[in-house]
Amino acid sequence: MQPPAARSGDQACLSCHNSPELSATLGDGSKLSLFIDTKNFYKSVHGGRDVSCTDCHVDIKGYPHPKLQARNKRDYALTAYQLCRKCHTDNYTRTLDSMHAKVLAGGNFQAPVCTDCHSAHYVTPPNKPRRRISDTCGTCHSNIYFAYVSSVHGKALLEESNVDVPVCTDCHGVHNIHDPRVAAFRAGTPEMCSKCHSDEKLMGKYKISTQVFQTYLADFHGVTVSLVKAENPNIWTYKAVCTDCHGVHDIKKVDDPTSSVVRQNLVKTCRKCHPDVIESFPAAWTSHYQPNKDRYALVYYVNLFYKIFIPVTIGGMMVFIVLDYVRSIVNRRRKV
Amino acid sequence: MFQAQKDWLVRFNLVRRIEHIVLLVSFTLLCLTGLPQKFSAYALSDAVIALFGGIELARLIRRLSALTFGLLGAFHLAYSAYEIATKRSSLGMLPTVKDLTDAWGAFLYYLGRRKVEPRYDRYDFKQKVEYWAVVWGFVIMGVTGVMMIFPAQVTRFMPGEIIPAAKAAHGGEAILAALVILTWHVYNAHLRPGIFPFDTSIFTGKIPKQRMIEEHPLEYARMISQAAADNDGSEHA
Repeated sequence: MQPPAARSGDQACLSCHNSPELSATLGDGSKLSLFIDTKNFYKSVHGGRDVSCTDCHVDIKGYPHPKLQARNKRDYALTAYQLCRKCHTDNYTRTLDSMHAKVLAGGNFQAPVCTDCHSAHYVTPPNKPRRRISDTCGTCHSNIYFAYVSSVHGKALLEESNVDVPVCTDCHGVHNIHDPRVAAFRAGTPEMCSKCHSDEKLMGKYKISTQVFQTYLADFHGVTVSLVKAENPNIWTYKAVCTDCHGVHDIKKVDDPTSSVVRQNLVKTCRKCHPDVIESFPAAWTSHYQPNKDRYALVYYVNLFYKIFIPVTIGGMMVFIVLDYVRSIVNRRRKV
Repeated sequence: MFQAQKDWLVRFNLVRRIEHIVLLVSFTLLCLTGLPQKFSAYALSDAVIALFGGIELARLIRRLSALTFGLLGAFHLAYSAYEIATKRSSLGMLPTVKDLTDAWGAFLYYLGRRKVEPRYDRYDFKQKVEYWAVVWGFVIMGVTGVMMIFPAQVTRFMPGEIIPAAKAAHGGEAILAALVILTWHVYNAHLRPGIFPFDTSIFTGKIPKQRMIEEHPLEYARMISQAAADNDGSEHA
C-alpha cells in the first residue's frame, strides 16, 4: 500500500521535518532529531486516522516555533509525553497509579512514560503480534525477559506463536502496573494463575488439570494464604503460593526435568521452606490431585470412611433421639 | 460416701466437675478455631477467625486449647486410675453386654413393645456412648493433630501420604464430634423432656433424688443398701 501524500494540515510541517538532518540543540549541547519519517508516520495508528501534527503539538502555532526549553533529550521526553493525555486520558490516569510513575516521582528519570513503550510518532498496535508486548517490557527488564523466554509460557509464545499463554501484562496489568513485591500481589497470586488454570476450555486444549486452584485452596498452604488474605491482603505470609514452588517468570512444564516441581527436584523445592525434610516428605502434598483409589488411596479411604461413618452414627443417634422424644410426649399425655 | 441433702444426691465430685468445664471450654475453642479452617472458603469462617483476632492469634489459641485438651486427657486417665485403685470409683464407665441389651430394650420401649424402660446403673448406655465417643475422638484428634504440627518429623519414619490422611481424618472426626455434641449431647443434656432446659448435675455435682431413682435405679439401690450397711456398722462401733 502506498502511503498517502502529506495531508494539507501536515504539509507545511513536513516540508521542513521530512529532512533527516533537521535537529534542535538542547541545553546540554546534545542534538534532538526533529525528523519525521512520513511513510512510517502514515502507517501509524495516528497517521492513519487523520490526526495531524498540531493536534498533539498544540504549542506550535506558527513559525518560528518557541524555543525548546529542555536541558536534554530525556528532559524533553518527560515533558512531551504529557501530550498523550489530551486524548488518552483514561490510560494516562491509570499510569499515575503505576510502579513506573512512582519510580519517576521518586527521581528516577529512566522510568518509562507513554512514548518509551509506544514510541512517539510511529505508534502501532502494541499487541500485534502478541509477543511484542513482552518484547517491549524486555527492553528494560531484560533479566526477567530471559527467564520468561525460558519458561513454558515464554517458549510457547516465542517459538510457537501461541496466543493462549500469558504475556507480561496478563499478570502485571497494563498501564497501572503495580509493585509485584508487595504482600497484596503475593496473596493474589493463586487467583491470578487460576484465571487461566481454572478455565476448562483453555486448559482442556493442553490437557492440564483445572483442579489445581481448588486443591491448592483446600490444602495447608492455600488455607492459610486465603485466610490471611481475607483478614488483610497487606499482611505478608510466608506460606507458599503458586510461584514459590513453580517459579515466577521461569515456570517450567511440570514434567520438564529442570522443573522445580518435577518429582526428582521436588524435595529440594520443599526444603526452601522446610529445611530438614527427607525424600518421603513431598508425598505429604497431594500434588493438586483429588485423592482416588489409585492415587493417595489412604486419603481416599479415610474420606470414604467418614462419608459413611458420620451419617450412620448421627443417623442412629437421631433415631434414638426422636423415639425418646416421642415416647416422653406419649407418656406425659397418658399421665394427664 | 454419698450424702443425701434433702432431695438432692451427690453425683460428681469437684474434680469431675472441673474436668467437664475444662473439656467444655477447650472443645468449644477447638471447634471454633478448627472448623473455620476446614471450611475456609466461607464468609462465616472469616468472621469467626476475625473474632479471634486473625488467623495467627486463632492458631495460637487453638494450640493452647489443644494442649489443655491433651493434658486433660492425661489427667483424666491418671485420676481415673487413682480413683479405681483406691476404690473411690468403679469401672462403671466400661461398656458391658448389658449396655447392648439396654439399648435394644430402650428401642423396644420407645416403640411401645416393652412396658418399662431398662433399669440403668450409674451410667446408662447413652452416656457411655458419648463418653467413649469423646475418648475415641480424643485419640484420633490428638494423634492426627500432632502429626499435622510436625509433618517433617513424622515423615522421617512414615510415608508422606500419612499427613494428608491425618488431615482428612482430623477433619472428618471434627465434623463427627461437633455433630455428636450438637445432637446427642444437646438433646440428652438440654432438650430432653424432664431435663429441659439444662441438666445442671455436672456443674453442681448434684442430682435430684427423683431423677436418680428414675434414671439410675441400680446405682440408687446400691447407694441405699450401702448407706444401710454403713449405718449398721456405725451403730455396732
